[in-house]
Amino acid sequence: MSRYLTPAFALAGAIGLALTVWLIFTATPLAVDYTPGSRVYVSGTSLFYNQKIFYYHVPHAFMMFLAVGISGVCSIIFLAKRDPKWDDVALASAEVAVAFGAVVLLTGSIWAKAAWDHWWIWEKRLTMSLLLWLTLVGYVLVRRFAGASGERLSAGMAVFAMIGVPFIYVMVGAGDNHPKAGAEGNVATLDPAMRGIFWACVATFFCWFMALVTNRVQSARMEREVRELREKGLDAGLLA
Amino acid sequence: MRTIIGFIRLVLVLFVVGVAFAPGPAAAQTPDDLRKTCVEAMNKNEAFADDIIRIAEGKRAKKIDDELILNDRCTIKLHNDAQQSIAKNERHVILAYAAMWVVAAGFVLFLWRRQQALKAEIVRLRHDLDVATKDAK
Repeated sequence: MSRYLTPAFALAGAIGLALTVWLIFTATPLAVDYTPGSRVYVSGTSLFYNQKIFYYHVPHAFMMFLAVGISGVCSIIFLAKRDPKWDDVALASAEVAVAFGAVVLLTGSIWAKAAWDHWWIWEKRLTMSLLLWLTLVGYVLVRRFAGASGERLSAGMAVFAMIGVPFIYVMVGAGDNHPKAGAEGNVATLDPAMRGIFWACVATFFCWFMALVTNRVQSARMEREVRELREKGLDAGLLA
Repeated sequence: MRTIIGFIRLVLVLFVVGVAFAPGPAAAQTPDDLRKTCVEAMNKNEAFADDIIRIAEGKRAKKIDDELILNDRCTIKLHNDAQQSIAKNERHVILAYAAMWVVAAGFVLFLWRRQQALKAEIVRLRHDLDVATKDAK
């Protein structure tokens, strides 16, 4: 079952990517600023064609938050039960969160250049997102270089990162300059012509996310197997 | 007959005298002279002055209108160009999508290479352990 899980999710993600790219550029309306009483689009400055970035930028942010949440919850369970299979999932999710977070920051920066004519501004949400991403990078570095004790140390970092997610999400609508999806930052109020394709993008990147996480979990288990084989060889005095 | 010839002579004499004493062509007037003549005429005749002022103001108003129309057209063109530039700003969209694909491809490549290395490591370790176990026996 798990053997076919990664290819199945990858295939679904690939089909979804092809379909959503086609729909984004052919079926979604050109965004204009939101005005009360009119059609609800994504508000912000000078969006128009640049708003096409939204369909990939926001689902990536959703997947990053999901990955951080999974990593945090699995880390709590790992700290409580000391069962390494939860740690494998936490590590896989954290690494995938780093990749998705990099896409969020890059696409967000390009969008900022198009909309605000600045690659980066120290706005609340951007700054918090950067801090979250740096925390995740810290998690991966600790896992790589901290040795045996790194598992528990990084589990604590994953819990810390998870706590930061709600702050980032709540900040939209709290008086910052970040473009808001729909009225008051609620994607459920997006224009119907945009909403369906947006959720199709979310589903696509969920498949993509699952393909990466399941694959990375397999790698984590293989890394554990390598460690166990080495320890076995060393304990028996068979390996130098 | 003599009377007729005498008459012709008289006409010729009068023609020659007329040509000789006729006033020459008027000297060309300079713009300053014309301006002076016009000012003097305007000072003498208020109705003429009003006509001149009305014509001059009409010409000036038309010139201003033409300039405004030209400026408006330039402004509209600039606005249209800017709107088109924003509405069809494909550069940043392509850049963002490319960034996503580059990160995704890089991450997949990283995972694939690591998994291949781990598979090879597991096979090598198992082989080493098997060989070492056989040697120990």
